[in-house]
Amino acid sequence: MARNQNRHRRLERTITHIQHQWGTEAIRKGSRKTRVPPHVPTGFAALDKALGIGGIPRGRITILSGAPTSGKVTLAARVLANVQKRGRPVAYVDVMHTCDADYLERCGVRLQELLVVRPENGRQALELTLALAKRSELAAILFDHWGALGKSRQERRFASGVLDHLVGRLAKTRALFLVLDDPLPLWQRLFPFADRTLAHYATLHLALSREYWLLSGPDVRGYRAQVSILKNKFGPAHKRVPIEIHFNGTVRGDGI
Amino acid sequence: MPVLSCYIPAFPLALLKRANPRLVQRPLALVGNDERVLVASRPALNAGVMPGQTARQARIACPELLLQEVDLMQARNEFEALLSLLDLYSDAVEPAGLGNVYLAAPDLKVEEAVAYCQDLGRHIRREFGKALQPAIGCDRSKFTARAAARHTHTGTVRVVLGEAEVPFLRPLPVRLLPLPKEDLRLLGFLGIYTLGQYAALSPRAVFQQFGSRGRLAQEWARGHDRRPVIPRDKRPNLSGGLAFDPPVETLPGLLAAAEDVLLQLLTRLQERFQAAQLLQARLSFVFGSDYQDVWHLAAPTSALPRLLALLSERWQEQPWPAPVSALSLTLGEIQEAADEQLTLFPGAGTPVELLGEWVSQVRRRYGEGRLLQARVLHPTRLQVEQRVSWQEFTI
Repeated sequence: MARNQNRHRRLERTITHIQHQWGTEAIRKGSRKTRVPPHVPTGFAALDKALGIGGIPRGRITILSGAPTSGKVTLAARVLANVQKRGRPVAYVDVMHTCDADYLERCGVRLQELLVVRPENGRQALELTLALAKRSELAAILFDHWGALGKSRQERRFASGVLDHLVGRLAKTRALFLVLDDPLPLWQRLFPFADRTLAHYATLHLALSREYWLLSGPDVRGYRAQVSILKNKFGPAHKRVPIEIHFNGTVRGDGI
Repeated sequence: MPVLSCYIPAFPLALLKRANPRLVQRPLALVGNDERVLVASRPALNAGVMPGQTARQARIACPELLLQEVDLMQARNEFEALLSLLDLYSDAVEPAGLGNVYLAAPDLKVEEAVAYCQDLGRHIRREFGKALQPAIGCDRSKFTARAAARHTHTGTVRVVLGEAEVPFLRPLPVRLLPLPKEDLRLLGFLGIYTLGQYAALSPRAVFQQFGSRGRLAQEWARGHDRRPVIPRDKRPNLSGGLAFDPPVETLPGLLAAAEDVLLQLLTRLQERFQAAQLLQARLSFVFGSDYQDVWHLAAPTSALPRLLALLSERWQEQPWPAPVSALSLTLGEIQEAADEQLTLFPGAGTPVELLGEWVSQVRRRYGEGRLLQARVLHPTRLQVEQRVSWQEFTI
């Protein structure tokens, strides 16, 4: 009995020592209670439910991939708007220089608290993103988009290094990090040696695809998109949620 | 001589609620000519609507929001009626923004002052209805009277006279002083949160750190505000102008000149914690003709971008018959800026402001044009490029 108590005490001491040196997140005792990580709701109730924790996790990398007009910018803008409700600014890394501020505002983003970063090239974009991730004042960073970065071996290696640092910094600042990306082509899904660095570092990967246009007579009033959860470290993956995006001045849709 | 501060919060909104009492519980906001929210009701504020937002932003923040255009004419007429009523009580009645008035009261003891204020309050309630009943503060100095009016409910009176002045001011937040945001942030960093703490600082150190404005504010915080109540017909104007040789033909050149003139005038106002509610611009053209514009602002301001935006918008629309040879600008209806500063008070050290140093570092390293901020100027235009304007990110 006494021996068991001694063991227990030694274990406690070791845990305290590790937590003291490396932080409370470094080691934790197992518990039956599930801890819900800090997150931000997407604004689409059905999607929040499917994600398991009620939204997009903060302090982690989230990928939104899809073809143009699949709803990834809309979804990202809704998340940014929800982040801004807490009164903190957000950043938009506009690698392609195609940021539509008017649409962001219609999605609810407050432009006074939106810092748009327009880098000259991919390398500068990654450097600035890393610098942004250091700032605890920023509540979220949107990277638009990953596919615009260079594809050479050197550039990929640099991006990989940046992601390595980024994970640690985001964990400290608890900023939400969203990356927009192109959909994965079929050949890349089939070959395991293809470059999957970003997907490796991501906690959540949502693939969006447009299903059909919503018509009202001859006019297009929006579209219906399908969100597939490809990877989810905090909840079940491989779920599909349909969402509707309307063009009626504001973006609405709770998921069907 | 005691000074009374008679304060009716959100005056145009109170008028609307008086006309339609059913609106009391609804989220409601009033927008000005520039389609920005001027005042919002408590339910609307709770839903995330903020003064200064565009109408569209407000509607997005609160879809049930009832947005109405502010009827400035009616508000001014009602306010004039209020001033006429107050003229019965005092020879010196000074308006300081819609819904806020200073009166020079006769020399009274504390008990008499309470009865005097109550009588005044009852009279206003009888004439203007319960929705417009004021909060009344009374003290020897304007600043303390105003602070007293702000720290009491509508329909009640707060008299702070004699020895009660310093203990009353001591626990109040330092944010009541109309200091610039940077100074307030610095005070926050230094751990100075109350007027008492600020008043206790060495005057020399305050002057060294915050200049003459900081020193003036410290005098107010100590209860020494020597500003007299200025009757509204004796309020001064500030004017400035430039003659162009050669004449100016382009709008950017004219706006740059206007900015120079306004900057000089507004600096003088800001040093005395004052703001103007009237702007008059006069352009003289080379062939002898003149063009004059007058703006009556909804709230007094000393903000350069706001006045420049007004000029820019009007001059863009106005066709010029010839190059401009002279420009003259006048700021009128000058009054204290405290009203605006108190109602739209910025939080000291908001996260956006804290980014300031970092933004300048990035700009030094990567050059201009990397960190931007967007503004939707023309939301109805078809092309995105025409709807949005981009500018350097500024704090």
